[in-house]
Amino acid sequence: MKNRYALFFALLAGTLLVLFANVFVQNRMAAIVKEDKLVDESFAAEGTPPIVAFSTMALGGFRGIIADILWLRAGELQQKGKYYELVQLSDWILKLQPKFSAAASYMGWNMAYNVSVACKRPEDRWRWVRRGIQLMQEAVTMNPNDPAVYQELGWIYQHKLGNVLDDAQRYYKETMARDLMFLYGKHYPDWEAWAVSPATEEALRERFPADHPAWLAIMEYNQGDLERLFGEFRLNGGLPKELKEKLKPEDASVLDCYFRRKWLKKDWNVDPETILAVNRTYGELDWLLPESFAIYWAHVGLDHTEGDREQLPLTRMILQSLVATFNYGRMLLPKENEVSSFFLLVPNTGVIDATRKMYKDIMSSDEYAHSPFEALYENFLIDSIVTLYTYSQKEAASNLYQELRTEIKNANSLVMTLDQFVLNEWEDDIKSGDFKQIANELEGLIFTSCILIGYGDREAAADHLALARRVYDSYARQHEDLDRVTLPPFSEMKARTARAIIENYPPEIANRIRAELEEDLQKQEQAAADAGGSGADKEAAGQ
Amino acid sequence: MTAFLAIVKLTCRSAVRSHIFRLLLILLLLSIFLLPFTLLGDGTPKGEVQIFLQYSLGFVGFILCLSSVWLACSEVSSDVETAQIHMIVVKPVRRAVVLLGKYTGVVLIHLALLLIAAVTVYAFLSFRLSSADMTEDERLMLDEQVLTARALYKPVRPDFNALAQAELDRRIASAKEHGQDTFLLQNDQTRREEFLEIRKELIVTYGLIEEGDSLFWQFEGLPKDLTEDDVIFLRYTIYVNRFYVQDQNSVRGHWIFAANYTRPDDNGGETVVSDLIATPEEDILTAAQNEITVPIRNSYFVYDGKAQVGFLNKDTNTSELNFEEGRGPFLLIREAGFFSNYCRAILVMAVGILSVTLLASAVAACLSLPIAIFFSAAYMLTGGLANYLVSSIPDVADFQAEYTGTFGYRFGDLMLNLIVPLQDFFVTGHLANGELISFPFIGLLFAKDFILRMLPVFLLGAWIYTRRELALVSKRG
Amino acid sequence: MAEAVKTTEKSASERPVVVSAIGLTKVFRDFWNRPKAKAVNDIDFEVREGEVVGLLGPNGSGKSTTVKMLLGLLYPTGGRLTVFGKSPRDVENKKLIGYLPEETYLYKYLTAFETLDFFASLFGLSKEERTRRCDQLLDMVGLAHARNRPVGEFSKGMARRIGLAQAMINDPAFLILDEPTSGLDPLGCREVKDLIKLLKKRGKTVIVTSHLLSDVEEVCDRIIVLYGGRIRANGGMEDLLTIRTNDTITVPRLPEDALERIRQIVRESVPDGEMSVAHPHMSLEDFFVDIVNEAKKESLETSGSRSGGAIAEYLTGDREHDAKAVLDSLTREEETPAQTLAKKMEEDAAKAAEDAAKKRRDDLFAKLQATAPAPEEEESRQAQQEIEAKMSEANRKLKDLLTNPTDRKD
Repeated sequence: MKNRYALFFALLAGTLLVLFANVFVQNRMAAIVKEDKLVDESFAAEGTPPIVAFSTMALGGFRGIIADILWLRAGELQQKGKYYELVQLSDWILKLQPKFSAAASYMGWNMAYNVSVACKRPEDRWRWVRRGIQLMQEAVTMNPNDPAVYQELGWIYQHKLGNVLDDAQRYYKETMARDLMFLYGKHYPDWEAWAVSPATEEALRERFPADHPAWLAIMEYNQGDLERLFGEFRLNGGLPKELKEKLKPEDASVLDCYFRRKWLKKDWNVDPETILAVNRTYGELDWLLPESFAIYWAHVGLDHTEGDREQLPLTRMILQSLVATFNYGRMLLPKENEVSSFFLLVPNTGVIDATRKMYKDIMSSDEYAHSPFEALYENFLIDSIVTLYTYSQKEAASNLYQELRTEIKNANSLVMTLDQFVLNEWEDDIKSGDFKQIANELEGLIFTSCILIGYGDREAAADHLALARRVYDSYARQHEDLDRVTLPPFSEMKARTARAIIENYPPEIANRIRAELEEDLQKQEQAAADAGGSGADKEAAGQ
Repeated sequence: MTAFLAIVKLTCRSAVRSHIFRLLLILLLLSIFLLPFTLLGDGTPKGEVQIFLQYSLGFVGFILCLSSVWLACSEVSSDVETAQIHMIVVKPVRRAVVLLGKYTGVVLIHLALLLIAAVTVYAFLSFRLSSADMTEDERLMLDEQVLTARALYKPVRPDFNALAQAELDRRIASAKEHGQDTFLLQNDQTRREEFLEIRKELIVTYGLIEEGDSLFWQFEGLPKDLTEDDVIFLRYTIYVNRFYVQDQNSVRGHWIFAANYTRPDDNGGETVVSDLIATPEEDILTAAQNEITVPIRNSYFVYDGKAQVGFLNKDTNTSELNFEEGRGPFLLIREAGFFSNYCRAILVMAVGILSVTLLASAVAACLSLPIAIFFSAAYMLTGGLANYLVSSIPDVADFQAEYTGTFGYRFGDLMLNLIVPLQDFFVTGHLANGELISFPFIGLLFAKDFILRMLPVFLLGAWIYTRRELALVSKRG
Repeated sequence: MAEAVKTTEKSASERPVVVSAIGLTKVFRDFWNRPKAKAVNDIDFEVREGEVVGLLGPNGSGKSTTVKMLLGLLYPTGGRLTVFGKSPRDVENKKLIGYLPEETYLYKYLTAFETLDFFASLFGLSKEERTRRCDQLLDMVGLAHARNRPVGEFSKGMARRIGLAQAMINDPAFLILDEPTSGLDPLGCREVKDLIKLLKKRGKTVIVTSHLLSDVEEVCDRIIVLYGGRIRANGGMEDLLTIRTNDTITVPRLPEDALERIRQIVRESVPDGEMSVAHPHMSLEDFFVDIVNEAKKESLETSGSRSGGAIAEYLTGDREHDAKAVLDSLTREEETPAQTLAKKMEEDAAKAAEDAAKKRRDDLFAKLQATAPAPEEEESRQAQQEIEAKMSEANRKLKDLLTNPTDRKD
């Protein structure tokens, strides 16, 4: 009897001792758990689909094993070149391990880069890039505070779609612009109007209560089935005609904005409020282009992260995208509000200020970055000045030139005027380049000038042409003594380029060029007819 | 014979009455119809067909395997455990016949189910295909690449061992000649390491072609009875330099096909003349899988079951073009239709069911129900994992793997020699890719898995069944 | 009966041996192969052709173990056991053996006919033969009406009958019956015993294991008593049970003075011999069977198992008619002359309605025994009352006849 109870009490005492000791350890463990984010955050966040919450609870420890098996399978299939299962497998892996952002980043990158590249047709490639983006968007929803996913998503936009390294990049840009144009309804939507329109169905119903004429019209149209109406909206790119006729213009526009922003959110996971914020922070961006989205996501990422370590890559991404936007962040279309494969990307001068500010912030905050960034900033300023100059913003160019003189104290800027400076920038290339390079550059300038005429920007066209003329003259002066093949006459170059454009570009562009350069073209034809023989002689002599 | 048939019939009836069996049947049918709506394809009709085939048949196969294990174990074990078997073995029936009868019953039921499921899947697929709208291109791709059965022919791989050995010998001889340090000769260890290094280098650089250079591949074992209607495809993937994926490029080059034709010669007989015919130079997209049709007549191209294909690198911008091993070039010849291939895939699955049931019956003949099921499940799991281990760890002989990798590989290898992995019977990957499941392949699978590895287990189980004291396990005690 | 036994005993040693056990031992081992229990400990016995042997013993004495060893379900750990001269595991031998296990294991979803058909097919019989035998067997055990009902719905007694039927499908030369009468109603018991007797007549060998000693007593020639794995008694019934020190004389009812005279003779013949006088008892079973047969004659039906009565033809073999006659005589109630007379009168009276009502009565009677589920409960209550009335009438008549025999005689 006694023995039995003795054992029991000994065990009891031991248990109590252990429990007591645990108190000291518990706090430390809890701190570690919080610090390393070992426990999943609650799934009360909106946007997390119930299936994910369910699977993480129900499968328990097995989801890790299952995810591993699926991962191995995906890798194996990819090795063999069988991609058709990849979308489904990636989806499952993300649902099983929603917090494993590195895996999601890899899978998104994999689809957008590796798999897309293995397809021949541009449609297929675009599809895979889009899948990568969609996966990352889902990952962002599940990991709103993780910088890695924002980075990857932004990178796909900036590097894959934005840059020119992929052979199909023009196709990507065109398709993306097309899809977005259809969604927006026009090239530059009224973001303010979008931002104030109702964001959810409840808000819409509040705006249009049951007795509101707009709501009554909707009821009459299809008994208030908003989902179906949304489907029709997506199909047509706008409100159905019958319904639109019944609504007052202001109500129609509110409804229109409601559907469009819902559509944007669904397909691209983007909010008009944030777009406005981005526009305000960085300048008016062209939201048909991928760089804008890269900036968007990096910006959202900055909001959700803290600390230098997490934010640095995002800041850099914004800077790179801003520079890219500066260089070619505005889309010119032959016909406004209609995307065609003959789109032209020209510099977006609206972001210059934001970019400058960013450079300055980096230079002042990070001591290690100061000198390398200073050099970058100087180059950027020079580029900005030249661009502004040739795109008919001479005043702005002049202001920047002042800054270049006084703050950066660039050597050339201290002695030259703005005009000289710009020409000098071009001439550097001329001095070092050979004939072929110069010809290319000149043709480039002339082409840009003509094309700008085609796209309707005559001032910029004139500025480009003026610069081209000066470069041409400068070259002629420097090499007139040499007995080498010379450039054809300037007007001939111009006419030739214009004619080439007219032949290959759609009528809207061609017509504008033709109208503008009618005279020149006729003259050139005449000259060509006359100088047909002499031109050949010249060439023969030159050789 | 009558006794055998009676036991088969009884097993079938008993099986159909089992609740679990009915549940699995419903699951089977549901999965066929619901799967297509829950799976995400890659967006193309081709991808959707592929994923449908892969997953629906895969799911069917998996469920049928589980079901047959469950049923076989249940049938064989429960009779012994409830002493029902006493009534049977006191009759003039051999115990082996009893076991065989139960096995046959279970197998018959599952083969019937397999047939039903196969027909349903096929019908469903046909229906969806006929009602789907696709572009001409998409339909052509589907027909050429998925709804077909093309045999894949790989080029003859050079004997890297011999080449490496030759190179090693050459280096040693040259070192001797120049009076250099002959450490290579000194011990086997360094020689072996050097050999492996050379071999690795050879393998990796095998597919590299420099600008202006060309590389030829030999194909052997091609069918000799090709007509001009049979189309031969050449599938290849080119990479720039050695890296898998680079920024996209177009490179220039062209393919060269060796043509052999006979010409009457002076002696009144015929001589065989070889000629090389080149396709025009073109831009080829790197890293993308390309398929072109062989432009010359089959009778010229394939001679005595052999063919030769070469590639000439005419690209000035890149340094080397690379044909990764395992990515081509391959010759694909359509040797059967999709329906035939589909039937073959089902046949392989049937062999799988036969094997799995064999295992389960044998195990259940010796052990109680829960242990029998556990044992069968453990067997299948080990087989599956062994397969993964072997396929995911690089070949130990060619490359150096770390210690755990080596161990895992060796273990997996050993297990695969003893155990049948279930993956062997799931050939839906081939089916979905339009690859031929050849009869020799099926025959080999049958011999290797069913006869060589499962049958001994069954015979052992049957022997134990015959010799055990059945009354020992009676629950009455 | 005694005479019959004596004659068989004479030639017993000459008849071939069916079962021979020499030093038979069975030790059960546990998982670690250590001996756990010695179920059968060095027993020797023989069973010759044509004998009906009863295997008796309390629970755990090794009866079932011995039986299982005979059937090859267990293997002896020591000693030698042969059946028909060969090992018990010989498959060909099984054609001659029939086995009725203690608990019948049937496939619940098969009908009665299908069950028998299945077991028949294990013998490799042709379809026609199987159908023929199954039908006959079902008739024999009184389950012809339940031919197409799933066996899972059967009562224990009915299941037992099926078990018995399957034991005899192959017309075995050697039958092993483990508790054959358990779960059966007295009519069933009687039939089983009749069957065993018939089989003995046909020269079959039967081993019967039972706890119901009265049943064993009636049918067996020899008994083997087991206890603790050893044989405690082995010999013919007569030899073992006969109390040779006393005699029993059965005479018709004697007047008191005659009895006194007999008592005198006894006292003279045997010193201190005491004579006790009492009315002989018929067995309860006989009485019961009488009643039922009465009731049958009045054409009552039972819905549960009926006592079929007719032995399956193929079992009766060559001596068909003889056997039938024998069986009839065995099953007929043993009547006193007075009763015979009375019965004749009753028969005459009831002959007209005999056939039609017979079935109905049988049914209802079985309900009385509560052997089968009775959906027609209302009907049965009525019928029950009817039966009771008739029974009391019959009782009364019987009583009349019994109490006044002398009147009739004289």
